[in-house]
Formats: sequence, C-alpha cells, structure tokens
Amino acid sequence: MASIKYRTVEVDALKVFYREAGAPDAPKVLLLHGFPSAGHMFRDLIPLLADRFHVVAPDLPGFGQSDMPPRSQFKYTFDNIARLIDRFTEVVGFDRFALYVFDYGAPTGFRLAMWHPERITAIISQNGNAYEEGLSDGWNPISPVRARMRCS
Amino acid sequence: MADRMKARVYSHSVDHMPLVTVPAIVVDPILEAVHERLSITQQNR
Repeated sequence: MASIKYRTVEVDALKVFYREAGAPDAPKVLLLHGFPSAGHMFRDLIPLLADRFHVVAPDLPGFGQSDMPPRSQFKYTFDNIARLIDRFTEVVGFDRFALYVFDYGAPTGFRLAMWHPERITAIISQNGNAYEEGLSDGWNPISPVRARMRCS
Repeated sequence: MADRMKARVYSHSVDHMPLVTVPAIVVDPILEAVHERLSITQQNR
C-alpha cells in the first residue's frame, strides 16, 4: 500500500495543506475536492492511484487544514480560489497534470484548464458542474441569491 | 453538457461520492483518460 504524505506549503502568504503520494516522475494527477469537504475525501482513492501516478490533493482555502482567512482578507470566489490553487500547482512543481474534479472542485479546476490548457493532460469530472443548467431543482431555493451574487 | 463536449461518459448506480464509497470504480476513468493522452503524445513524437 502506497504511503500518503501530509504536507503544507505557503502560497501567497496562505498555508495550503495537501496530501501527496506516488513517484514524482510518474504522470501527475491533481485531485480537487467538493463542498463541504477537503482532500480527506480522497483518502481511499489516493492509494489506488499512487502506484501509477504522482497524486496531489490540496485542501482548498477555507476547507480542511488549509488556512481560512476572514472574508475581509480573502474573497471566497471561484476565481480567487482557482488563482490560489493555480499558484499552488506551481509551488509544488505540477507543471503538467491531469485534473480530477469533484463537485465544488470543478469550477475551480475548469478555471485552471481555461487559463493554462497546455498544462492540462486530461480532465475527469465526477459530478462536476460547469453551467447552471447542470444544477438540479434542489438548487432552486437559492437561485435568487445566485442571481444577486452575479450582479454584485 | 458532457454530450455537447463529446466527453466520454461513465455512468454507475452509485451515490454522490463514489470516490469515498466505491473508489475502485473511479480509478478506471482516470487511468483511461491519462493513458489515452500519454499514448497520443507518444504517437505524435
């Protein structure tokens, strides 16, 4: 069974916690977790990938063991979260990698792909959503809130 | 959306989080996607 390493790096003055496994020279896979969770959700998946891939699973800012700065210091938008994770990939040396995105990780990861398509080798989206049409009726009660957020 | 993108779709009768409940199912699409990309890259060399 491959061992998982638990690490922390500083990215733009924020502490980002991440799980890492696999050989550094193996094809790289970045795992982006969903809401309201953390890289912990990949605890059983990482060992199944680590013998073939170099796997990294960060806790997004505000989640898990990564820093959670107050909203006055960090805007928790997908753009901002993606910017931080983009910098994170540079700090940990993920120059080219496949993206596995789940739920909340999808709008984060898709932004990385839009910004740097040349760095993304594959996208595996599991219950990830890119458009409002992908939201089920269960989201209807908060649709006015979403509309207000779009206008702000 | 996946159809419009011509993405390869895998459907299983699982809950929202198969990466936790049945992680072995999640491995195959990742393996296939990455290895397919690697083989395309090698063919183009």
